Amino acid sequence: MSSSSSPMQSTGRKLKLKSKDDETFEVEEAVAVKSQIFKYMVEDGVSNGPIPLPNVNGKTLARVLQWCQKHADPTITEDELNKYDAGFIDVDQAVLYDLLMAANYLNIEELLKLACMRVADMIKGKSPDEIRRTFNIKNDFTPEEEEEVRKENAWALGP
Amino acid sequence: MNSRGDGFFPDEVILQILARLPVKSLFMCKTVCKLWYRLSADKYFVQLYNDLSVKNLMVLVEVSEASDSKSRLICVDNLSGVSEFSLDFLKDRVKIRASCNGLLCCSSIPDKGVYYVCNPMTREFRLLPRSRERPVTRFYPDGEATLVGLACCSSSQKFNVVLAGYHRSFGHRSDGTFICLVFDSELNRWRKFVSFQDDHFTHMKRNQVVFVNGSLHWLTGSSCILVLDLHYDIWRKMSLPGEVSYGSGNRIYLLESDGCLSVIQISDAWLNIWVLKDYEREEWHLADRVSLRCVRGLVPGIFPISQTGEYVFLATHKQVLVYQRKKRVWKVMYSVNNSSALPLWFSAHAFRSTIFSCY
Repeated sequence: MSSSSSPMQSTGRKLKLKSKDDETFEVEEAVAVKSQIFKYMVEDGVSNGPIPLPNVNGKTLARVLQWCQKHADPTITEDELNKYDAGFIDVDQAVLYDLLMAANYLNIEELLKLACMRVADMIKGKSPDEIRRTFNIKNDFTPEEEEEVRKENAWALGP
Repeated sequence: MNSRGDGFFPDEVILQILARLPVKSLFMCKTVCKLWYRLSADKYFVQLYNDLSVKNLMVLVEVSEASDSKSRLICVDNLSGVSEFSLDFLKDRVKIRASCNGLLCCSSIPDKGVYYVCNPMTREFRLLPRSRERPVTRFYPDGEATLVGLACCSSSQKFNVVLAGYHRSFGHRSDGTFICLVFDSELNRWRKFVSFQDDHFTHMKRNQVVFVNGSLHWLTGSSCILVLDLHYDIWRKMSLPGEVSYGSGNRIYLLESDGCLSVIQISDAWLNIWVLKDYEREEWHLADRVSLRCVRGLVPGIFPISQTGEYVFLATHKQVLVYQRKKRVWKVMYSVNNSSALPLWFSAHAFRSTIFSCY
């Protein structure tokens, strides 16, 4: 996508990242650029000093970087990657939430898709009530509004 | 963990999640809270949902038992297998004539000349007004249109239905006049134009109509592609890839592949997939050569129905198979046990699940 003159190969350069709880991470450029945010920073040469990430905690950042590392590995096969992803995303809801928010904030498209698919899988087959409970969502329809919407979608909601 | 009132995540993230749900689950989500209701109705979301659905290929097949005259519909999905499919919500006995972007165009069996456009996933349907042509005397030979096409434009959410066929005035013989009726969903009206053609179409060729680049495409009996440009109501011809030729055991089929026109050529031992990479310049590209050794016994009776860059769905007399291109693996997705009245390939259509509206 980028047509910048400097190639994205491993120049051996590393990026320093600082999580919101002050944990620092050093990561190779080739791995970090899985995130569009870092990709643009590297392209624009704005990567001196540790990059502060006030929206991501250390634990989550560690996980995300591990994912990026795996996905930046040229020797890994597609099958191995799929297996890895399946295991990676099989986490509890709190961790999943953090991964989702981090992938969105850091603009890591593949990881975002993976996490969204997992959340979608958690929603499939649940009733609206169950969905609300799983995600702690308040039902803000008035009883009349809810009846309207239910009628509209009656065929999907079933008997 | 949750500091926002209704949602858990930023809006774009919610959209990405909702876009990955099967239609039924999506409709469940509409009733969860106001934000989800509003987001799922957003025009951008509808297009996002439909764009993602391209990856999930499906095939609709009409299965008719030899024992009784009733037939049923099944949907074969690469991810979730086989499921029963129903068009009962139309409250009419219908035959599927064309499929495009999640909408189906069906004709009524008892009432000739009555057409529906429906989205079987959302159960929305639209009974098309009758065209003012009196079909029985206009279309020749059976009073039915030879070609039926459905063109659904995902960006504008508008569609066209095309009924085309040879014309014969009452009491006279056919004179080569080709009538084309086009229904415009926005104007809710039919328009008609006439041309002169001399093409013939087999059953399979009539069924396999492809909508890409604003035009409908059919394969004619004589090695070329008939194109109807819906912007200008003009028919034109397009050539097949130079290396593709009919005759001596070569069978040719027209399909779509990820938004591009594609031709599949089947010989005794090979299945070649051609894709039209450059539409304007008519440049074809040989995308794949598949050995048919594994399915040699089926080759004479195997017909490709739909495909993406990763899978090809094929139907035989009694089976629906999928070929995974990367892994080079064949899999039987569905089989009928009894001998059915009609082969499965006879009424099989490419399909995908979208929330395209027909209103």
